[in-house]
Amino acid sequence: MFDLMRLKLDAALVKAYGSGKPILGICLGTQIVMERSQENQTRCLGIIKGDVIRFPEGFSEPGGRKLKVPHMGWNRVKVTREHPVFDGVDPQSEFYFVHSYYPAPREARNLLGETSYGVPFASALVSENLVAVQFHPEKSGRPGLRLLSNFCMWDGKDHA
Amino acid sequence: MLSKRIIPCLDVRDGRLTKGIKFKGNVDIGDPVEMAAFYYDEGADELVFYDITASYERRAIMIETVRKVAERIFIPFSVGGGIRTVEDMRLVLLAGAEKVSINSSAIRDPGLIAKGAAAFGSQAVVLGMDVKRVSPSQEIPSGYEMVIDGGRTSTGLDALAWAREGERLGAGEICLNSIDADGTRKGYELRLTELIATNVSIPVIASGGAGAITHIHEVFTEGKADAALIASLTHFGAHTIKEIKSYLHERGIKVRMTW
Repeated sequence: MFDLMRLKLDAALVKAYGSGKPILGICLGTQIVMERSQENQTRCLGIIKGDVIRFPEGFSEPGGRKLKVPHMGWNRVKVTREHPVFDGVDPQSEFYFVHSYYPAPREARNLLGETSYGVPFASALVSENLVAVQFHPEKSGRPGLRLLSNFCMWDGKDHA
Repeated sequence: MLSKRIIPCLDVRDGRLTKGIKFKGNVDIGDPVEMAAFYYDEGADELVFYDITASYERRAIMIETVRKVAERIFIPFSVGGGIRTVEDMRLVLLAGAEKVSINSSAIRDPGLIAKGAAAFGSQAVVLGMDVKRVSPSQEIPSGYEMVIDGGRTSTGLDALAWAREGERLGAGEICLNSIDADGTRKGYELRLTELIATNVSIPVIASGGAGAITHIHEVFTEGKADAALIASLTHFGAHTIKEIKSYLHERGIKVRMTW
């Protein structure tokens, strides 16, 4: 955020969002659209209401196996509603994640996809002309490329 | 839940692929970029490139290979071998690799782990560990010693202590290679893998010894590994990634089945 502000990109992003331009957040680009992050107690752009929080230390999956942080590797995304950016993406697809913090949107209308890692967390968010994903579509093989291609064709309108 | 990862390892020398048996008698098996594209299509979850050239004047060839690979595949890959400075790391990451792996150079200069993690984040720094079985002693209580220079040089460092130190310094992942098992095709060193995987909180990639699909199942169940490195198992067409994953999937191990 510090670098964004230094380069005045924070204002540029908020302005672009306001103008209706389609925006795709990836990984950290998803976290910065929230209001605040626990990572270094950072104030973020505030486009989506809610905080960015850390996976708890020493937590376990239901079977009892200890989970590692960062959440690194391939995991599923349960898309919670239809959206052009996820059009044609097989529900069994997995995406590549690398992160220790995750976004916790306060309002259900911003939730687009959910992933489970010890706790369920929002792995895809939406707010009008903004879609933000915690995973890396550019490193997620064909499903990721499909998502990127969908985004490039998207008019930025959320028809839901 | 995370899927267990299957990671083919490609050894590269002078811009060409090799497969080392006990680090000796390497034979050329082709073009790394083509092989990477092949594995991407086959459903590999990640790739590891290990540059065994490592002579300084040839580094540029490897950077060029990394750049070409990054244009062709859209899964993560790491690059190791001959990375000695933060600047070496930067060049590899800028060329398109997701992660760099440091091994001997991290033992010679542990600060390199911390410097790399500070500059690029822990997720970009993989601690490569070459480990040899020894009699437990006061110096090496775990009975596993770190070795460097492709297994030729002993260090007097205990592998478990070094794994913990690497995590503390900021490594985001460990690639754990057993020198004893490497090239034998008789299975991973399960006791070593389990020891390290259950005593650090970063993911552990098991390496060395895979010669049958059952070995991969063992290293995930008994060895508690997060990922398995493979080479000769698939390089020469004996098995496919899909076969390996189907076998694991049928036995209740979560792997990525759609790609």
